[in-house]
Amino acid sequence: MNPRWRDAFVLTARMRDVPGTRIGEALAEVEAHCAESGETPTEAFGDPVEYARAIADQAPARPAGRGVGPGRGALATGCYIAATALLLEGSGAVTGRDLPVLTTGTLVSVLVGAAYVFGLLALADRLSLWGTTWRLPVLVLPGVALIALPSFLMPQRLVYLSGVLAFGASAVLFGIGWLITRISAQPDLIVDPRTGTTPMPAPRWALAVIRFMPLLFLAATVAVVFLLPDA
Amino acid sequence: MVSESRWPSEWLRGVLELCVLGVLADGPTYGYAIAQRLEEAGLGVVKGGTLYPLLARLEADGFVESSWQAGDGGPGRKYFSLTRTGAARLRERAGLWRGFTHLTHGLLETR
Repeated sequence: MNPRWRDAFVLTARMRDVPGTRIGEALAEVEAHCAESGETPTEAFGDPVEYARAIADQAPARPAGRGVGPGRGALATGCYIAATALLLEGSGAVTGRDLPVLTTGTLVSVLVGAAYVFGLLALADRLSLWGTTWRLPVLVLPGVALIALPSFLMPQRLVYLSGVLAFGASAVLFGIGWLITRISAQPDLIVDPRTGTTPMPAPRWALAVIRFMPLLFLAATVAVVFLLPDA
Repeated sequence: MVSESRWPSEWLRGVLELCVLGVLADGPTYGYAIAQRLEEAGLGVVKGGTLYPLLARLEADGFVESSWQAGDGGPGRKYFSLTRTGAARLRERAGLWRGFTHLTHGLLETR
């Protein structure tokens, strides 16, 4: 099948919230029909955007609660960043380095990280995150920098915490983030009804990056804080 | 994009559902074969972009059911078959259609 026709169809259908199973069904119909008739998808089914709209108009709504949506992704990321910051502050208290403190930079990092992931997931289809092997890391790296920067640029102390409180809050936030990720871990994949496989498979590493994105942000942020002098 | 034929597209739009149910009354078959049957019957070329959304609507309404079957070296075919409800719908609509065409025939006979 013409990849351009397929991509335009999938993008439009996704943006109109057509379930992945229905998109896979429609793609299989197009492929089977064109194989029989010898026509191109455009000849047999017309403009891919118009056809996707026709499918969307009669498709059932996407099942609620599936997929790592922008809202859940942002919430999980915010939890993980805050948990990381609190863990670092708690560690400082244990080693007798400093009292745990909440700074303006930490709060801004949480908001920036959540907003960045929200945007990334909201535009996932438009950015073809699933279709290429290089876009996701290229887009994640600026996010890591954006999250780390406020901690250095805005060190104003808002409130002092006890070590126990910092560790406790960190554990709770890690737990919430993990729960959100776990609940959302089943993406609404496009499935070919003939084979049960996805016709546009994301690379395994990309799936892992999406699933563990908050943890990657966390690890990268910790690395930046420890590697930079005077952090 | 209903079809490429000599018939006005609005006529075909109105009668296509009935004709598809009529084809399926002969037994389960797949999309491209339905399109061929319609063309052979003189309705013109019914494009996939028209046929499959109609079949999906008929399936959602419970008139048709479908299943994928392996093809002969091809990508597999989606077979459609008439349900009991679909057969009842066909009988009802076919009766109405006969009455409708009889009526219009009477009006146009002297033109």
